[in-house]
Amino acid sequence: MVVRRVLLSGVVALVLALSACSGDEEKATPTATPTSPALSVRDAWVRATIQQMAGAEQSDTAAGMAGHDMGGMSDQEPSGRVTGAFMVIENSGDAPDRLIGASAGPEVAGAVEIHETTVDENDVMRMRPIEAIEVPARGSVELKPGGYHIMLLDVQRDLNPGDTVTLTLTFASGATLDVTAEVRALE
Amino acid sequence: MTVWRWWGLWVAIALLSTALAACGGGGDGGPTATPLPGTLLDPPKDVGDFTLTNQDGQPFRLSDLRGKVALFFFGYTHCPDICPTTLAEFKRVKALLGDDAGRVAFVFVSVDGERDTPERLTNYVRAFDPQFIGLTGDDAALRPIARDFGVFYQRVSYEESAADYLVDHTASTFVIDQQGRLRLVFPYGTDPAAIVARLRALW
Repeated sequence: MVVRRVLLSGVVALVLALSACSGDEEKATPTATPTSPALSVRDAWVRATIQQMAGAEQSDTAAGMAGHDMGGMSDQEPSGRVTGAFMVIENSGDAPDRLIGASAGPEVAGAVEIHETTVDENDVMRMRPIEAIEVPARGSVELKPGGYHIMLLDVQRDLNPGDTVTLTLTFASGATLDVTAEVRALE
Repeated sequence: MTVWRWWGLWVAIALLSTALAACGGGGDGGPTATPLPGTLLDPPKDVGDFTLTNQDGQPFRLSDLRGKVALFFFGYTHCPDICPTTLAEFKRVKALLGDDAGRVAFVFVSVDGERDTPERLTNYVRAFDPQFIGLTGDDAALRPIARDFGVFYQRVSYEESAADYLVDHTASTFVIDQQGRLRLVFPYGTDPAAIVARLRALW
């Protein structure tokens, strides 16, 4: 394990060094993002927004919907599109951390929040914003339907399967992590 | 804010039916099959006929479904989690039913009539299956329906959220039989194959 950690630190140092060298060539990616070698994310995905199928099946649209813009909502008002992002956050470090924020850029979502869904003994579902999600030391936490999710509000465009969304996660330790989440179909 | 506590009534009914089922099944002493999830209401519970607005903006009555078995889920389209998960499960139930799919209607009832316009419901239900039915109505229309089904719903606002409000709601799937009576209730997350097995016993 020690060897792995040393190796990992080495790799991280190398990556940092390389990215420092080639900083000018790397498109416009900000290189200032502090990363934590202990934290990583896998299986990140975002549920497709609900408008996605409507456009595709416009040909057999009900007569009552004629003239309605099936592709999306008007620009003046909040889009009404919401969705959730799900993933597994892993922490290989010896100290626990907490996910305290997430952002997706104004071109993607008007607001991004951390939410928890619970289903009580009466099968009542409650979703509420929470301040943080604990990521245990040498462990992981899963954000999944029926549990934690990152809520994207006022999503600015249709998110269709195959698209990707970049989220920046912020942790209590000060670490940030850029995550590329794949958009998956509703089913 | 008004809190609907009708689910309390539902829980009482569920407990009673479970107790009755337990009494009835204890006789033969033979090995019992693993019970399927969900609660069978025996006798079925009468629910009043109602009228809501469907995704095409047309009036839709519960009695329009007479002769079919109908799966009901109560939710709202601003829900990113439980609601799409359940509708995706409805889609799997429909696929598993195969040739029998025509016997079953799939109904999403909004508990957020203010934001869930017929137009919005069209997009929502069609994203899963063009034959799914989306229903919406104001609170006065929804209240007696929620009472009959034993559904709880409540708007909640949080200062720390950009969402205007969220809606807490019962996440169960309710099965109405061919005579328009409440027959089965499945908790959130029930395996679609188990739902299908119980539906097939209804015809």
